Amino acid sequence: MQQDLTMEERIQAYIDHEFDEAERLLIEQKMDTDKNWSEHYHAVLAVHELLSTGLEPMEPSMRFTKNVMEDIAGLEIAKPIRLRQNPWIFRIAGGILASILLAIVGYSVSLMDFSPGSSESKLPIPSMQVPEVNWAGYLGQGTTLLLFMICTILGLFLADKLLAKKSLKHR
Amino acid sequence: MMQTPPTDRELIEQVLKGRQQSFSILVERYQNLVFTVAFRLVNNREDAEELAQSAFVKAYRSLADYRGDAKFSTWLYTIVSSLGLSFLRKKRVDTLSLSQEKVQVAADGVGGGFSANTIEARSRVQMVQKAIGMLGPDDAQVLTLFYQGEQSLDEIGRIMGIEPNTAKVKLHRARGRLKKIMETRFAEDLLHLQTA
Repeated sequence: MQQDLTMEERIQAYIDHEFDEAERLLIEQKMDTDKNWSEHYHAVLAVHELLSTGLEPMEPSMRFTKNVMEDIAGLEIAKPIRLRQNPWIFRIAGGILASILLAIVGYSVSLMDFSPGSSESKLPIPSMQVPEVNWAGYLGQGTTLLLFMICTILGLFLADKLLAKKSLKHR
Repeated sequence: MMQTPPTDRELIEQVLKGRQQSFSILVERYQNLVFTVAFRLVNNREDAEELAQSAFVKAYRSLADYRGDAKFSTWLYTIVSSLGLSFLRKKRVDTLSLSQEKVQVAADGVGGGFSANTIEARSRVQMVQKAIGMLGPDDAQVLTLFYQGEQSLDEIGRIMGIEPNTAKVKLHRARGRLKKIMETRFAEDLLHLQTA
């Protein structure tokens, strides 16, 4: 018998026929000899029987089917997900990405100087000159700050929308 | 000669071929249980009807995605369940996640007018419905799916997005909490049932 189960859990498992014959006999023995077990068994069994026989499905309004049919009247059945997601798109995108990575790695390796004693690489490191723009001079410090805040909030809002959409799709 | 009603699979194939009217048979077949599952989640007729309706519309839209590896009812309840959870989150309904201790408080709070005489006047069905209404949405859902929806623990696990073992534990706990409510609020009826 599973020792970690409480008396009530054992009785519930017994009622649901989850135990093997040996365990069932053990429970029956307990119920015969222990009044507490017997009382609990009858209480749980009463609830189980009530649920099995005393429940009836509820009914929606009379117009329910009509409402649903009206709702779907103008709708089309969506294409199955497996058709909407063309696997070739993923394969081609993956192939392009892998080729770019291979080209970069190959080019970098070809520029390396493997001669002994050399520690310098001929790999040119690209640099970009960022123009110094004094935004505050054009718009004023307060306006710039406000614009940045609006942009940040909009960015967060859009990111939230995107994530919510993704999570809904996932579910 | 008696004509056997079309199976779910046959009806789905007809709908997929463009016979939209066949979907109404599926709606009629499952509307009561879908509505009941929705009601157990939101505990309100109006919202439950809206939720059940949305579930059928969503099921129609995604019908091509139903692969038939589970019962149509299981697939349908999964949609209701997921829509219901989003609905609860949106509406911030008082979900009363009832722990063992809270059951007592909730039961005491709701049933102010349940005198022994009133209970006697109520039918057994109403009494069980009322008791289930006192449970949290999770407990009520698991009991409804198991006893009314005739879903196995595996199927309940699939619907609720949990392991079958967790579904089993949830079922046991829900039944235990219902028993507690029955013992505190409907003691006389329970006694009557045990001796009957």
